[in-house]
Order: sequence, then structure tokens, then C-alpha cells
Amino acid sequence: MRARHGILLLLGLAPSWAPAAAQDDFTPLLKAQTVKIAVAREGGGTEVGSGILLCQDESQAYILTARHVLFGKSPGNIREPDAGEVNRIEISLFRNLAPAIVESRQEKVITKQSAGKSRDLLLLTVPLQQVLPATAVLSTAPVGSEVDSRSGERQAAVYAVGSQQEAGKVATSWTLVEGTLFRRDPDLLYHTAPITPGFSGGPLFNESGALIGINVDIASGLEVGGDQGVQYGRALAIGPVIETVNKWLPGNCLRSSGPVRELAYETYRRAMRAVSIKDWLQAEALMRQALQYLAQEGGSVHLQGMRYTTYLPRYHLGLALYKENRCGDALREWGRSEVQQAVQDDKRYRKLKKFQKRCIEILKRDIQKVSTTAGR
Amino acid sequence: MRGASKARLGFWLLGCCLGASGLVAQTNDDINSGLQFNFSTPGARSLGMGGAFLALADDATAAYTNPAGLTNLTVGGSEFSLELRQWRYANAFTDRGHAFGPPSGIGIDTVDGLRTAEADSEVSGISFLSLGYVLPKGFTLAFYRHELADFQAGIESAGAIVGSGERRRNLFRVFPARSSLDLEIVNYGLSGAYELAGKVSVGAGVSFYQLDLASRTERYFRGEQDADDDGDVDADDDRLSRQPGGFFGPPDFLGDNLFNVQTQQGDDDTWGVNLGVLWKINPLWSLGAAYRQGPDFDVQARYVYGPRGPSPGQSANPNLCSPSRTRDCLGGQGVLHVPDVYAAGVAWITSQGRTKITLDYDRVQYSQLTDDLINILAREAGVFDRSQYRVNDGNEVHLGFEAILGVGSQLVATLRLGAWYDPAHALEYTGTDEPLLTRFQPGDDVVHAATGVGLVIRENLQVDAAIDISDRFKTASISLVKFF
Repeated sequence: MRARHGILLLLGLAPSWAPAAAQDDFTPLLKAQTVKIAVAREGGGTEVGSGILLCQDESQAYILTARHVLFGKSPGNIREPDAGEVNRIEISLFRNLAPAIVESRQEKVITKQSAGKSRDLLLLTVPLQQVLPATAVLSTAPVGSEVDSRSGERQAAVYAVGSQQEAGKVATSWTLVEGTLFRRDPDLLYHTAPITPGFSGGPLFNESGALIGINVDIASGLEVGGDQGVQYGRALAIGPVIETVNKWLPGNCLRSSGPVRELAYETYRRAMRAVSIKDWLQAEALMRQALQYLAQEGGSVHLQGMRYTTYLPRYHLGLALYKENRCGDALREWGRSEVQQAVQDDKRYRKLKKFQKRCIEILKRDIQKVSTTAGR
Repeated sequence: MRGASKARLGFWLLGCCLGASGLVAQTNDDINSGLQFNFSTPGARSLGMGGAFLALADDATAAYTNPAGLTNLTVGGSEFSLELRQWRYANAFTDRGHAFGPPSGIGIDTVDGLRTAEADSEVSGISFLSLGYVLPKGFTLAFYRHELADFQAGIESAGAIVGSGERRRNLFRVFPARSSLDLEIVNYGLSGAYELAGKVSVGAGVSFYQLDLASRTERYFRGEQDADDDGDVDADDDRLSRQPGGFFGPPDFLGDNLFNVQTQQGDDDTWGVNLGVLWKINPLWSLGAAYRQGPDFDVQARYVYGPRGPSPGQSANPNLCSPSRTRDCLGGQGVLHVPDVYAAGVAWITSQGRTKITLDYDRVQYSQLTDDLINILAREAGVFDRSQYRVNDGNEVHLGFEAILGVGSQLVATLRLGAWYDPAHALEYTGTDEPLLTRFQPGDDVVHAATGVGLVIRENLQVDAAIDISDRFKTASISLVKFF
């Protein structure tokens, strides 16, 4: 790692890979899985919360949110549902991927509401004809990649998507905020992503873009054993969440809810074909696409027959860039690949080091040329 | 797949009456044994899946099986493969017994009904060698060497007796015979494939086939029932005919008792083509189809009397047969046709290739065997009618299963199972001549069971092993694939 920093500093390249994958890679994908839920109550005013598209079948979508997003909550306990208080519910999808679902007292649209008794959860079954580009991929294990500078422990990066609603300001929906996992209890996750009330019911993702929790609350540092004066996001861990909602879902719903990894692997397979036939431009495009679906390297991808290979889109993206004589970009991607630590266990790592060395030589020469020209 | 040679040769090769499926007889020699052509698809992986591979065709063995499948290599990269096979055959043939009447009870004529015997043979060698190479723009090429057929057989028949014992003068005993056959057909092929739009791949190949065939059937004299040649069959004849070489006696295989010899020689080469298409309907389903043209080879057949024959060194009929002359002739020039094959298959593949189930149907045109059958039997020289000999086309069904047991970065382990139905395709005589009916009996349908395992080590090397077993045939295979 130190060597990589040295190389990049030498070349004057910004180490932009550092904050894991999500920020510039699959933010749209995460947002596309998130819905905004605006609830107008009898007493006036509209509150905004969030939800996650768990899965979809032919005519309906299944949206998971926090129960209090619709029914409100009083401090310390969750009230029983009181539908009479709600005048209007509007569920919006990112970039209008589908028309908003609007339910009012006059027109009932939501097919079914299933609420948890002991957990702050609500599953909304809504009619939806459009095929959505993505629904949630579930994961019970946050992926760690960053090392805490103080404790030296590995901290898992997390991402929350929701509506940023600050006092006196217009809500900014589908905001992605990042943080790290602070504490993990059997049922709850605490994280440092700066969520606000509009994130309630919204998703908490790991750095691979998999759903690891549902944000339900904000806790003080005192409550969770953290720094005083710092607020922490509280999320229901996905394991217990699924225990609760699984019985409300159609049998194969969750099983079919993870097309992202399949999409990533299928795209990677096509990308590997492009690598094999040395179509580097196509390889670059497809590797980037695969990264959009799944940024975390590692795991086995079926190529053909009995051939499996390690999922290494960043390494291969770097290779494609290298073949396109874009050494600077290639080095950045290889650096990112090394950070994820999957490539080190693969036979391609030796090639990576070899190409890295060549690239550095090339860039050194280029810099020298520029310096010489500038000096004249 | 299994083929057969279309033998227009008109004489039979060796050994008749091998009831085994997979036989390919070329002539109507008195021992026309089935040539068990080794037409199963190459590759230990394919063998372990019962040869059901058309719609997968996802390694370099596709070059022969379904060349369109070579486009799969564009995903995985170039590869070199080597396969070693061992074939064990149990050739079944009519050895002795009494048909079309009860046994007389004299000498060896005590067995009611025909009895078959089995002769084992074993061949092994490099059966497939290939280099599959991915070219820019998505073209794929494969060079390969394939043992299309590798067969050896050796049989010995005591000679069955036919006819009614009540009128013993009407009995006929097939001449005791010894036969041997060595057949090898090697295919040097070049196949190419390209993926069109719509996930449809097409492929074609051209093959240079080489035939090396040598067979020899020796028929030994046996006496007549009227052993003392006094015009009557009586107790003296019964006593004399029990002696070795007598009508009811054990065979006399001594050299000076050699009655006649039929030989078949083939040293020819020719070209053939194969075509294929592969349609990956979606990640779960794929369809494949292929056509494999069987090569045609010139073969020379001879009939010569031995020392015990009426005119040693001469033929019973000086006229030589040819594809255009089939009557009043003996031996000559024939054509060995390897049957064409039309095949189609479907494959179901689960997510990440963990499980594969494949089903193939092969139509093997065994009937081509008799298209130019020529005569090698002296008794048929004047009356030979090709239409009385037939081999039915075969409808093979192959079913295969492959399950990935585990996938790791260092090792991928696989288990395979398969089975296939191999319909009878022995040369069958449909006329009324009883001795010929005993020699050319319909074959049996055979079901093969197969299993295999495979390992991929560090994404570099694939090792597969498989075995295919049926009542009479056993094929074992091990293959190595090196990925680049």
C-alpha cells in the first residue's frame, strides 16, 4: 500500500480510489433501489421518509420501510397503526423510473401493508408495471476495507441513501451519505453516515452495494458508547429484518431479488470475452459497466465449461487502459484493485506488478520529456 | 456418436454375426463381424456425460462435435488439449450350435440353437489432440487430430450347423473360421467458428481423413456328411465325420486345411466436412445442432482358395466386384462409407454454470453401409442381392449431467453422469438362405452408462477422467487441457 501511494504521489495522481467504490461508481444504482415516501397527515404538514425496493414480480413491487414513516412514533415506543391519521401517501422512484404511486383517502392504491409488531418495519406492496433496473441485493456481512487510523481495526464503509431534510431547508432526496460501521449488535447496526430524519426507512448499503440494514433512528454517542456530541445512525440489521418480512413476501421474491450480482457477472463474462479477443475499448466499457453493478472484487465467475475466474473488473479495466496507452488511468485502477486485496491472491497479480512497473517507466519518460520541453 | 463405415465394399470384413451394436460390416463374408467404430464425441468430459455435448460444446473438443461451440473459447481463452483413451471390446459372434432344426446328436452337433462367443480386444492411444485459438474480432480456430475409429478384433468360430436332422443330407455347416481386423481412421481437422448477432454461433470444419484397414478371414475346410463319399450317409460316415475337420467334428485349424481366405485392405485418404450451430437462448438454455459428414474410402477385397481349396491361389470367380458390378463377381473394389450424422441437442445450465443437464439426439445413417456392399462369399457370387442385406439407421439418445462440486480460487471440482442409448446396427441378412441367416443376425440395442470427474487447477490446467460402460464395450478416458 505504501508503495502504491509513493508511486501515485510521484506521478502526481490524486488517490481518488480511497473512499471505496460507491461514490463515483454505483451511486445511481443504489439510488434506483431507494424510494422517497412522502406522508401527509391530518394535522397538516408532510413528512418525508425513505424505503428500499426489495423485489418485484410481474405486477407488484415490494417496498420495505420503517413502520414509523407512515404511522409516526412517539418517543420510546412504537404506536399501533392509525391509518385514520394519514391523508395522502406518495411513493416516488429515483429519476421517475416509474410514475409515483399516490394513495389518498379517496383512492386506495397500496395493495397491502404488512407491519412488524416488534420491529419498526413496514412492507408496502404496490402495483408497478415497469420493470425496475435494480432491486436490493441482500448481505448480512458488511465488507471491510478501511483501517481505522486510531484503533488500527478494519472499519467497514457503509452508505445510506435517503432524503436530506434539514430544518428550514427544502428536502434533498436520494442523497447518498457515507460513513463507517461503528458498532454491530445482533439486531442493530450503528454507523457514522450523517443521516437525517428523511433517511428513516431507507437503506444502509455496504461498499459492494448490498443492503445490510434499514435506517430507523439516530442515536447519540452517549447511547452507543461513541464520541460524545457525535450522532450515529441506527439501522435494523438485515438478518432479523428478513426474518420478519420474509413471511410477507412471495416465495421466490427474495431469491429473485439479487440480479445485480448476476448482472455484474454476466457483464464481466462479456468483458472477459472482449479481453480475450483484444477488443480493449469494449473491454474497458464492459469492465466499467460491471463495476457499476458490483465494485467489490473477489469471488468466482463462471466463464464457460469448467472455467471459473476471479471477479477482477478493476484489474482488467486497468489492463484495458494500459493497452490503450493510458498508463495514468491504468495505474489508478490497479491501485484500487490492490486496495480490495482480491487480486493479490490471483495468478494475475504478477502481471499487474509487471505492467505497473512498465507504466511507471513510461510515465517517468513522459514527465521527463515534458520537463525537458518546458525547460527549453 | 458412432458410426460405421458405409461399406460398399461388398465383402464383409470380419466376423459376422457380431450381435453387438456398433457393428459395421462391409462385406458378406462368412464371418462378417461388426466393426465397432469409435464415433463417440472426443473428450473425457463429454464421455463422462454420455456423449451429450452438442448444446454445450464449450471446450476445444467442439471442433469435431459441434464446431460452433468453439466461440465459447472467446470467453475463456485459447487452450491445448490432449486425450488418452482405452477401448475394450467384447466381440460377440455366432460360434456354434444348430439352427433351423434339431441337433442330430452326432459329434459336436448337440447344441440346440445358436451359441455366441465373445472375443475381447483392447486398443489404447492418443485419441484427441487439439489447439483451440482465439483470434481478434471474435473468430476462433481449432486444429485437431482425432481417432475417429480405432478397432481391433480377432474371432474364431467353430461353425454352426443349420437344417433338419431328420434329413441329414440337408444339413449345412458353416466353415470354421478365424478372422482378424485392424482398423484405424484418423482425422486431421481444422474448424472455425464465429458468433453472429442474437447469441447464435456458427461453425464449420474440414477434415482430412486417413484410413488404415487390414482384415483377414481364414475359412477352414470341414468334410461333408457323406464322409466316405459313397453316395450315402450311414453309420460309417457318422463315425468318420466326428474326426477333427469332419462335418460333425471339431474344427481343424491347421494350415494345410485352409480352404479359402478373404482379405480386405484399405490405405486411403479423403476429405470431409462438419457444420454446427449453437444458440444460447438465454443464460439457462442453449440449443445445438451439427452435421458430420462421414468419409468414403476405397477398399480392396480379395478371395483366394487355400491349400485345401479346389484351386489353391485362385479365386472362385475371376470377375471382380465393383460398385457398378455386384452380380457374378467375387471380391474387388469397394467403398467404405463412414455414416453421416445429423445431431441436435439441448442444454440446461443453472446460474454460474453449477449444474448442467444435456440431451442429444443423433441420427446416424448406418444404412449407408450397405449402399455399395459387394460380395465376398463364393456361395453368393452368382445370386448376390444387395437388397437382402441391411443396417438400419440409428437413433441415438444421449443424456448427460454435470455438477460443480466446489469452486475455489485454486480448484474447481466436477462430477459427471451420463447414459446413452445405442441402437442395434449390425449388418443383417433378410433373405432365406439359412447359413446366411445364422451369420448375419440382428444386433442388440445397448444402453451405456457413463461417469466422470474433472478438476481445474489454478485456472491453468484441467484434468478430466471418465468411463463409459455397456455390456460389451468399455471406454476409459483421461484428458488434460492447458489454458492460455
